[in-house]
Amino acid sequence: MRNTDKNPFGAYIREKRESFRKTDRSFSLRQVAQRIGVEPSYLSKVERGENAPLSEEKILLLALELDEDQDVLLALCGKIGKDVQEVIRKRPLLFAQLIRDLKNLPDHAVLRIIREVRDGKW
Amino acid sequence: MLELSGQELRFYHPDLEPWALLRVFLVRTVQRPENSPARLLTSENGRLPIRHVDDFAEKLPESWRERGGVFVPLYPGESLWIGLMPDSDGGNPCPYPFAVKAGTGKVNMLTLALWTETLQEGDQDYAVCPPQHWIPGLLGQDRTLRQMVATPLHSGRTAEEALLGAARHGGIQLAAFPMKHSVYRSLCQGTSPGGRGRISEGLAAFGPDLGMEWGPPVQADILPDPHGPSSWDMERMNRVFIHLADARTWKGITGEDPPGPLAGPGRKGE
Repeated sequence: MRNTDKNPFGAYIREKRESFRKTDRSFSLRQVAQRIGVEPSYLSKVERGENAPLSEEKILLLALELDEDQDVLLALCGKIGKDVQEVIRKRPLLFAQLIRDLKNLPDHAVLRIIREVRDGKW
Repeated sequence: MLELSGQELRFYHPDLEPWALLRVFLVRTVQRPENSPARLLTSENGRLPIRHVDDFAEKLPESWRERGGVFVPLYPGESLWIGLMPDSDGGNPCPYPFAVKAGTGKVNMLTLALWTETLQEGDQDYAVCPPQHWIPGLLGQDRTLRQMVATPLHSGRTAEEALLGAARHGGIQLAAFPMKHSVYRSLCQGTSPGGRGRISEGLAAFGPDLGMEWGPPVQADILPDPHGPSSWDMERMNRVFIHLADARTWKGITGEDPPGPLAGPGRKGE
């Protein structure tokens, strides 16, 4: 099995960081780790897929560093953003059912889900 | 179908054509002084925010919940016009035409007749977009088109109260009818994306409870229907009730800051 299969998040951020580093040396492991507030050795473990979890706050900082979508990086870590959790928590039955109903729809169909303006009696 | 997207309402019929879409937005403007020369209304003051009634149901009157639809903030004395824009994304040479009826207090804005959901031959009671890109105002009792100006419902000054003797509805009513598909197909034969079609020519980019009273005259016309009333698909009509909320209540209802009041000579009703 490839490393990306076992460790999609670590492999992804390493590849992204390394691609930036080719043209900008401030994307070294040490400097990126410093900017997001972790030890370089810890970020190295994250990239190698060793047992080194990152908090949501650190993942969001990393997403900013690497110009990545925050939700995508969170999902690669098996996490969901706090704001999304809050949306679901407010109406758990409705959103759980909605997500299940949508799981097999192609992207273009999901993007076309719209909310109609309700017309009443007048 | 009818959806709310940002600051516009979209009347959309993808079963007819993917571009069978009419965008409608509301643009507020100052009321011109009564003795000023009639002139075109400008859009410098921007589109009004639009919200679903259902999203704030517990803070809105029962009559609004019953009618459904959407609501917008407006200060008494401010004026608005209704923008109409066909879908011309990608330079579509033949936008899908719609017939649009507009009312206030369930009085037709263009004829002052009682609101109906059919299209009238003769004294045309609707606009056609394209070519019409706005509904600039409300027909006056002197048969000139005038600015429509927000005023408190039950003040006795709304067009509804003047014409019907009671303030029952307020707000703005819209109904949009797409062109029959067979008519559209024959109209747009021979056009293809990237070219120019007949009906796109002349298209220009433009770019608690209130009712509407008459303001000063505006220099604008409602263009005659170039296709005829039988061209419109009555079965696919969509309609919406747009409630007018006094902007001073907007924050209490939505939690959002309303647009700042416009500085104009005609503000009143405070």
